[in-house]
Amino acid sequence: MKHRIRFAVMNLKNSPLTTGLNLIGLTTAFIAFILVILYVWNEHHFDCYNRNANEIYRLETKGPGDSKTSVFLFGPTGETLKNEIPEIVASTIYLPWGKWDQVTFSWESPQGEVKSYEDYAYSDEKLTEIFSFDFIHGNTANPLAMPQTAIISESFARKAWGKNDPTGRQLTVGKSVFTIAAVFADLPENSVFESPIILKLPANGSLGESAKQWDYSNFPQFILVKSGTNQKQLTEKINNQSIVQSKYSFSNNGAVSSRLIVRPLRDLRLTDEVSDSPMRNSKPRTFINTLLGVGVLILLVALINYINFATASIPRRIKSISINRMFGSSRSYLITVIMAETMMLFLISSLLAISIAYYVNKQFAQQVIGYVLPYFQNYPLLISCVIGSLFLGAITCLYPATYCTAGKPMIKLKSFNTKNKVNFRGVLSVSQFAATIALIAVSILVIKQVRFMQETNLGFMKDGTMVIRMNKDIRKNYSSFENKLKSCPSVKDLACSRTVPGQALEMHSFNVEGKNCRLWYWAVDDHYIDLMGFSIIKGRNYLKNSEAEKGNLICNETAARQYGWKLGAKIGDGELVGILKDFNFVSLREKVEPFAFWLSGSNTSFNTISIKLSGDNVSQAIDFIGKAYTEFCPDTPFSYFFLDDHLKMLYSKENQQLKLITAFSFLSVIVSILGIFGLSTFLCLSKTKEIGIRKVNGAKVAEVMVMLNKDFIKWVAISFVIASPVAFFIMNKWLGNFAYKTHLNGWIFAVSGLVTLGIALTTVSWQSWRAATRNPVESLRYE
Amino acid sequence: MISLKDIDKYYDAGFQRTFILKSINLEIAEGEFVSIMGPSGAGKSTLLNIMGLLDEPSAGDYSFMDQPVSKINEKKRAEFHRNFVGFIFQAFHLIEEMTVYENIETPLLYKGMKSSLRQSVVADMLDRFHMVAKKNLFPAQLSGGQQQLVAIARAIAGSPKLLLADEPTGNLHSDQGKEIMELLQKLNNEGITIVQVTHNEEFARYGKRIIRLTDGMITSDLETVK
Repeated sequence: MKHRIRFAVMNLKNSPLTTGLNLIGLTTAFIAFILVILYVWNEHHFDCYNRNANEIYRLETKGPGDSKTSVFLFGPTGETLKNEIPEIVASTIYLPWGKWDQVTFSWESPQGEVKSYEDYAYSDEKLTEIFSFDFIHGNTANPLAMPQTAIISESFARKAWGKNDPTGRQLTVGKSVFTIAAVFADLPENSVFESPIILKLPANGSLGESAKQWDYSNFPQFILVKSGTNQKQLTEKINNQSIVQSKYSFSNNGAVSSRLIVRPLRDLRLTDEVSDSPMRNSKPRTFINTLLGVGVLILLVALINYINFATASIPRRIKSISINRMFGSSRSYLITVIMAETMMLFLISSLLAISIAYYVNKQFAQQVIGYVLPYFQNYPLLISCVIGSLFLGAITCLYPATYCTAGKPMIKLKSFNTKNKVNFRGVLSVSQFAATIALIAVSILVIKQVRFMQETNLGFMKDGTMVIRMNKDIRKNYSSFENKLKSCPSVKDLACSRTVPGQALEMHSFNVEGKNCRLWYWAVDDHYIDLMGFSIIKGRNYLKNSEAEKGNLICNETAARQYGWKLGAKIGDGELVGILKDFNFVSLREKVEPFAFWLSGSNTSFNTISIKLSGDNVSQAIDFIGKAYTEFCPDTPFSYFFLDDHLKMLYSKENQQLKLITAFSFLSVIVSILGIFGLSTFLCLSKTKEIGIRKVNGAKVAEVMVMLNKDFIKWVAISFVIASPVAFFIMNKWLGNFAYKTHLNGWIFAVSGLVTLGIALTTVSWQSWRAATRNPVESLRYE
Repeated sequence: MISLKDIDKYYDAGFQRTFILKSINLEIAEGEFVSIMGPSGAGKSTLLNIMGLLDEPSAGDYSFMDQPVSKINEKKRAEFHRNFVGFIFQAFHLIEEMTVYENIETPLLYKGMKSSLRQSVVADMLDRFHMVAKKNLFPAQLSGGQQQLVAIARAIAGSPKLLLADEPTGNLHSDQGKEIMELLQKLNNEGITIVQVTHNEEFARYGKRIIRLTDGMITSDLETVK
């Protein structure tokens, strides 16, 4: 046993080039694979930390004619269902209200009073019963039992009050005061709850009251069921429940109504059946699977490299193998030596990879995927990777090992059937090139699509638009505020709206001529549409300063088409006066959905002020506006963002995807290059004698180089033909995720083919030039 | 010890059958020293390979020590190599990456010899060939004659009954060659059966029997006349 290892180590040390190249290639591939696996695992296990994970469902509703579901339900839905259906044990509301209504938080700290905007959510006392929170301070039994209580995350507690136990302290939220009841340990990254502050939903006040009524579908809800409950049966029971039936019907005779569905907790992250909302942090499944595919591809390329190197070094090894066999070593002994070599190499690579991947994750994960992957916590995964690599090693060396030791043990100095060898090697090279070509093509496409999304005209003018939040102080003095701002030379114009493109939106259902029409819906003032450059294609824009105009709607083409609305139709409190050209208010991933602006008479409907700045002196303008803001509302911290930056964030997902795919393609190209380099080196080495003889017989260096390059050109051409359709298919599928896509041009394939060819030719030419210019005497010295 | 009956060795290429060896009938008893001679391409090395179970005959029977071995399995073949046969070649075929010590030790590893026993056997060999000082050198650092000595040491370290030598003096000049032949003769006197292939008439006469091979067939099989 010991000797096999000794032989294996000796063999590894004696071919430093092969060993080195293999080590680099395998380690790189393993790093990529480990990171991908961790990421995919994490994504597939969102929210699984909850002890009740298998019994938690989110309630969603799907209206007739809706392609996606909505998470927003009437407040009393969950509680009602729990009371009526025995399988439902508890229900809770979780409303991430901080995404809609930014509110100032303030608290007393040792440094004095601190004010800031924080992300927060409302919930009730059942939340901690259903979901797992790891409390480190405070009342852990039922922290949200009392009114005006809050539970906060450890990070926020530390930020606000340092390391002391903050329970009992007061947190002022807007005008209300909440008492900290408990502190929970930061939730894992893969959790549906993002808010560091969870407040008890007040019984009174607009939000609290609306939660008790069957009129406001605002409230995302979760239920906990008895274990063993059948999902289908549960759904049927829920929809057959009489109260639900009546409340969720939208037609007079109840014939047409929305359907309630229950979605298991573990499906929340990856489903794409839900309308975009701040409750959903979506990553299309296709992307995750593509990434997994890329990881596996890189691994495959590294393995192919290994086999290539191994078969290329067979001629050298055959001699010592034959000698050993002559002296009575059995085939199995030699095969196990080769296996030991391979497995040692794989083991070292995988251990190295785990260490390096740890640092890569720490340094780069935040920027690329938005959070740092939990690394050593997933040790079962890491250990399986190491074991897997050993297993892979055993399989990979099977072909070269059996090939080496096959046949009779006489010393094979003359090469075996070179034809067979080259064919198999040809297959491997072709696969390698094909993988490289495909990956380069896919990367180019992703870059193209992301650029397209960032630059395409969304249907309104997003540039130079600064957005600030409206609050009650400014509302009171809006006209003076407006005039103050206009006095700044850089300010071209300003207008108010409930929200802006790219932010959380609301839906509303109108009953128009008996039909339930649900659409996205914004309040605006009378010159918002002009400010943002939306184009009206039918009817007219809002009349300025008109009382009669208030409550009127301007909808988009999709709404008009889908619901058959005509100009002048009575909708809600007003009528339809204009139809807009469709514009993208969510990312270009989604098809445009029905949408309408409505003209509000009172500025309490507005949450944002959009300010158009001319390009000059932007920083001065920001200063000026900031001072004006503080002047008008000294209690509120000034914050702003620019619309185009904000919209870029919508594509943060795609940017991430882009970065990830590019990074991995780059890695795979490196591994491929290593492989090609190795291949060409061995090819030239094995043809040393032939080259020497040719030179002696009068061949020129150029002729020799052409001879060697010819084979590679052939292989690259074949790989191109194989890779292009496969890549095309994958790329088409990926583009299918987007309602708005860039073109899949032919030049993408041409470029990737040429790049690969270039790489191959450069490495081969260099090697062949070296081989060809060597003195024939030296080449012919062998035997 | 060696009994070859009607041995044929041929290769089929297309519709043509090329005979390397044809109707070889040969008996070699234990303790003999046989030289096989013949022009290039006569099939000498092939015959030696068949004798050493490095190659299989296409037809005919081969018995070694009264055991039929023409078609034996891998396991038995390995045993055969471990226990009964040692090889020496014109090109020495030492493993370049191992030292002299390790080269000699290799066959002993496969015999499953314990470490201490191995050490003593190798030390014995080194001593016998006066190579103790060179035991940690690599083959590339030795002269041709010394390399062949190492090869012979390796071949006999496992105390084989048969030694097969394929042109053992081919790469050596005549003085070194003579030394090697003297050595082989001494080994034969100690009881090892030796079959050598050679071109050299003078060295062939060290053997007690000379077999001449032409175009794959035995043309003569005579006692050496001193």
